[in-house]
Amino acid sequence: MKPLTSKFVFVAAWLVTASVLAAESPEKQADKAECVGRPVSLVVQPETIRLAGPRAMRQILVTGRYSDGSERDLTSFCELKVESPELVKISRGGLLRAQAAGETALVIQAGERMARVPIIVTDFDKPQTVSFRHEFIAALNVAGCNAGACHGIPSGRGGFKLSLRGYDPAADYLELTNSAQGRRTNRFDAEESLILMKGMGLIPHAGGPRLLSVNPVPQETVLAWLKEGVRNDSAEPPALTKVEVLPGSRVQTSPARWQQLAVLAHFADGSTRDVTRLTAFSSSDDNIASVDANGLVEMKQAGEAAILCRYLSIIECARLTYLEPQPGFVWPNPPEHNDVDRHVFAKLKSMNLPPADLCTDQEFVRRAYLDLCAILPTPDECRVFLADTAFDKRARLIDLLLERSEFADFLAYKWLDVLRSNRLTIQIKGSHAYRQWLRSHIERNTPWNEVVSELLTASGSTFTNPPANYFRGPYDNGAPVVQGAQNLAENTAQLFFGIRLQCAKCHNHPFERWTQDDYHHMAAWFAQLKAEPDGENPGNPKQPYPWQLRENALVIYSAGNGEVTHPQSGKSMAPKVLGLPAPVISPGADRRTVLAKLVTSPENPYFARATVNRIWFHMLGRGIVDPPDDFRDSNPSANDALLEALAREFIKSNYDVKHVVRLIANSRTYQLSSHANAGNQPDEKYFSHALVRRKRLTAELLLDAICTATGDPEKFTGMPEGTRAVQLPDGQVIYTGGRYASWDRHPFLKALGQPARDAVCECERESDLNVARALEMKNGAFVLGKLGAPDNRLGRLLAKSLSDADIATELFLATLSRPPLPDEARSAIEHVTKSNNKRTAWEDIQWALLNTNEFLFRH
Amino acid sequence: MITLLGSHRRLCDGLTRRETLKAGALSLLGGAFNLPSLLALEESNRVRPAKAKSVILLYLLGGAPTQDMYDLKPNAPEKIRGEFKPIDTNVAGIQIGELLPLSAQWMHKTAIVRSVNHKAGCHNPLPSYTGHEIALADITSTKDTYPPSMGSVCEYLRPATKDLPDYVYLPNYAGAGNSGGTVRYPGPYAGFLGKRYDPLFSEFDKSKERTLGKMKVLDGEPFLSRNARLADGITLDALQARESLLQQFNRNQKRAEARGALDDVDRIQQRAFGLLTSTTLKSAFDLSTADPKLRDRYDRTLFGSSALIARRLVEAGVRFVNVTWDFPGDNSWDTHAANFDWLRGALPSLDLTYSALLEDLNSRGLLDETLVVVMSDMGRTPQVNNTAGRDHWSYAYSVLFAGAGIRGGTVHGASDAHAAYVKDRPVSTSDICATIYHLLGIDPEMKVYDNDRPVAVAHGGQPIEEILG
Repeated sequence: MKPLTSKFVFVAAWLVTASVLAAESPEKQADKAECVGRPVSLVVQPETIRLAGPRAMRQILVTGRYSDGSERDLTSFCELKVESPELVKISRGGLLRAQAAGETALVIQAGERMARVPIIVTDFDKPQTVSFRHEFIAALNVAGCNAGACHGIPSGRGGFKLSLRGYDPAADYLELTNSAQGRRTNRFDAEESLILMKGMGLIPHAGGPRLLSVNPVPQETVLAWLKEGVRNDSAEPPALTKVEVLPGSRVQTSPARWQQLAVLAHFADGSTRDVTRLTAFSSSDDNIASVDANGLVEMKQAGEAAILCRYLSIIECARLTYLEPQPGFVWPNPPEHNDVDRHVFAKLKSMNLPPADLCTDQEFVRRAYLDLCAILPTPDECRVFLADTAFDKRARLIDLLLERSEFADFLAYKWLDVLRSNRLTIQIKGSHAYRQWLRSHIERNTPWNEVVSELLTASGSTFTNPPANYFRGPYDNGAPVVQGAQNLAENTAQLFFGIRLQCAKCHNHPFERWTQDDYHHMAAWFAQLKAEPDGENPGNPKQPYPWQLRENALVIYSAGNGEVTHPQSGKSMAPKVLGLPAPVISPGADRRTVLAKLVTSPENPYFARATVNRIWFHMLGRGIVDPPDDFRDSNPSANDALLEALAREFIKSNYDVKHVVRLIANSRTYQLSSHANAGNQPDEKYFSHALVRRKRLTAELLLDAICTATGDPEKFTGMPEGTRAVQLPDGQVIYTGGRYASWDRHPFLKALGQPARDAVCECERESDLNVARALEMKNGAFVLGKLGAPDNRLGRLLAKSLSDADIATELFLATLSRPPLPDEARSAIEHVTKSNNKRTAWEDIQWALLNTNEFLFRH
Repeated sequence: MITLLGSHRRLCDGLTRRETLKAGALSLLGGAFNLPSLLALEESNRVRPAKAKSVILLYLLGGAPTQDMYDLKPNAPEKIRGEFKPIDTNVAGIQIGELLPLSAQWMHKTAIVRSVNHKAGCHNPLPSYTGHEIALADITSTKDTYPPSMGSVCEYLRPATKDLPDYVYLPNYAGAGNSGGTVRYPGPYAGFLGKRYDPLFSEFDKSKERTLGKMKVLDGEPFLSRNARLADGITLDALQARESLLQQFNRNQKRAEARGALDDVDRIQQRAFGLLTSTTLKSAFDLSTADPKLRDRYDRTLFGSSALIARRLVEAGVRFVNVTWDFPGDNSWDTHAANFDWLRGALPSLDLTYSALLEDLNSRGLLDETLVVVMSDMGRTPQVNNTAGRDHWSYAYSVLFAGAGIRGGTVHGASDAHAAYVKDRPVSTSDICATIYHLLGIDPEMKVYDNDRPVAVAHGGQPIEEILG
């Protein structure tokens, strides 16, 4: 490395200061001796350090092994010495850099243990220029110059435009060397180059001094490349094939809260290179773990985090877990109902989180009815369950509910949300048929892999073969069309793999392994789909606008031709499933048949996991991976073992959805109370207590619950008497006349966040509470109308001339699924007694009950 | 601060939603700060503190023929120049249409941008409200996937401690005047930010119309939407009694709940209760207390009355108030026929309202901190058709800015000799939005997230430096 010239002296001084100011550095800790402890042995990676070329470097890792079987990263805590110091320099964080050719050894001492690792420096005199693609671009990545928020945005910043994270080095080279009159990169006076001056903060730069960092390598790389005369690579360098992060996943226990990472790049020519200092690091959860520019991770509190390591186009993650056993912590050892509890409790135990108590029977009866059947228990059902004294009454209730028709209604409703069941796209008849098809499969408990296969391979009329609606797209210039292959790829990935591919449409996914290639390979499955109007269901073509229902059907078919091309390379893409090898598809075959087999095959690791995770999310309010349709290495699950166990169980049971629901519902975990204890109160991730905040009754559930509680059902246009909101095939239930005759949604449902069912994302449903929603509950026409309906539950109770205490009990049971507490009953009766209008006084009581958190949220 | 935005995962540009929210909160500390612009402080000539505390947007729905209003072409052929002549304003060298004499006297506080254009189709208010220039298959309904309007971004940035909304939309949703009432023009909504940032819409009585010249316009006054005022037959006392019962029933549950788990829910409930019982909003809408002369000065159309309420709302601290001149029946600003008859009726009324608003704001010392904008979803054809109408045209039209942060007496950009295309300094709808954001102290480059994708609130638009004071 050429020495920095005087101009950069002050910068170097800044760097020193910066490194002092940087996060408390582990070497300086007073408790170093404690951090090292008494290792039994030291393991050094690599076993032999080979440095080839004048700019070679290598990050070493020193791991201590301990008598209890644990491991600690000691890289930052051990003494490092090179036997011939003139050959190799040791930099901050255990980075070895070549100084002269020769052989020597690194001596490592930690506590009472020593290790010695041979070092071989070769080719030191052989010139080694900076590779534009492999080093310079990587340096920009690390500095963040080409990030989406900076020059990587398509319009560039300050007139300087780079490809996003360097995906197009050729364009970047031109931009760097040719535009701005070549001022960005000065071939004759490297230090006058704008990229350096701005990057070092020597002249004002909106993005800040990006090249000033505890990691000096990006800055050195940029400077070296400039000094070498801004050279492009003479030939396309060997392709990057793999990035490896050492030590990989690891569990450490306090006091070992530090972990140095090392990153190795593997290239197509078989060569390997240490790129730790040319890797961009970030943490999936900064509250748990932070990582500095050198790849040194500091665990801030007990928990798990994924450290994302991005070198050029490849991202690898290291999963790190840090445990802090608390001396006084006593695991309460609650009974395990089944395997779910075994995995959840193991995790809770390791995290020192004592689980909450079991929820009460009153809480359970309401919870089970709402979570399994989306209905409130009737006062009688509550009474029967509460009076039951048998030990297995919860299990029996679960079995009973799973066989009720409302279970199928509810599950169908959940899936129709994300299967885009809206009549503007698939027409009224299509939405009815879609729902019936799905609901009957759920009712018969058809293995879920078969349901999905049927869906993915459906052809024919969208009215007579309802799953074909999966492929129906919006109108294009007034003509009905099949969904675009890209959309179908995204939808399929999100629904059945739990993977959001959208980002990869235009660029490699910023935080995931999925590339633009993967995206378009996936789209190729749907490239040959076509649609034609269904002659037997032509509808009313006179309706000129797409938002007017035409009541027509579409015939979906595979045309046997058509390809997806890559937007950049223009290459035709072969069908390929994410993460699986390219299959053989016989010519003329409907590609989707092969796709369906691959998606639902037990070998596909994603399908079962994504499905059980979604079920878990629906029941507990938070996915094991959360959001439930966002599986990424960089979004680690809260409990791998649990996810795996449920997925295995799902496959073993031949994709039996009810079986998985039953398993979860019977677990103690599911039945835990929402009342947190002192030990688990901050936890929102590991299921130590029920998560109320995540379980606001959704719009339809709330509407149905209000109707049930007040005893005044709602009538929806075009649906039979007694239809519940959860049973609607889509949201458009109010017919509005006028110039553009069309349909609208129920005002209450709309206000409470019913989704338009336009997207496959669970996130489309807004189920938080906001002021408009609170107003709708407190003051909305729907709620007030139900409360005031003369013949509603209250009217009927009053007609029976019951005592005030009895009426209070009935209203509480019907609304909150429990009898009133003594003081609640007292306040209610007092309120009624002192009022001169009994009826409105009771309405006040029920109004208050409907607005309690207990009613709005599932506890 | 209420964090209801789901997980804190990393987004495409490496920020987490929580950081975005924090950044949003920072922007309320008085400057144009979000995270990227904090970095940009060194280039602080780009960053100015908020000039405008509030915005009143006067929206002429349906496509106003601005060549008959603010950009006349007296030398064009008869079939193009139309029936009106230009008059001088109080700024030398700037002329506007003869039916706007009162507005002409406020030219010293007004900037006219005569080169606005978009290619996003007819009757599509999305570009003007959001800056996102995209044609829609369906312009009669809105989607949750659309980008947020400027007002919704204000509501998104509203401090959690502020009880008043920061986005009120008068007199009702855009399209409410249409027969059938099913048309909801896209644009004014929060879109992918989430419905909680939709505006507080007022409502009006559609049956109230009056005739201006030969044309009908909506009359009456907007009123607070049903949910935001006490329902009929429920007194404040009754609501308070209910609320106190609710407190008692909630108490037991709260004792047992995870500590703090539902605190934010309680705050939301309190805010809803506060809104129902608050007198601030109610009194802003209560025009019975207004000076009858002032009401006449604004003109007592639905639009004029709404503008007066808008002034009161701004005074009360609402950040973004929209006043739409909606369709009565099927005509209004969509002047396919009888364009000039419509204008003979409507422009004197608009002239009253606009000048009254500026005058009123000015006399209260509010004009220096309130931005007034007059815009439309598009313009109209240069050629007059054979029913004396002008048809849809979005390739050149004018937008007015006045008040806070505006260099008065400015004309920016120019249309060609027929007011058909832009001749000089084209301005996009995103530039209009960027200008408004900038004046509000919101960095036009501030990112909001469409699922995971970062989107600049002004969609790449740049503030129009030339009209800034």
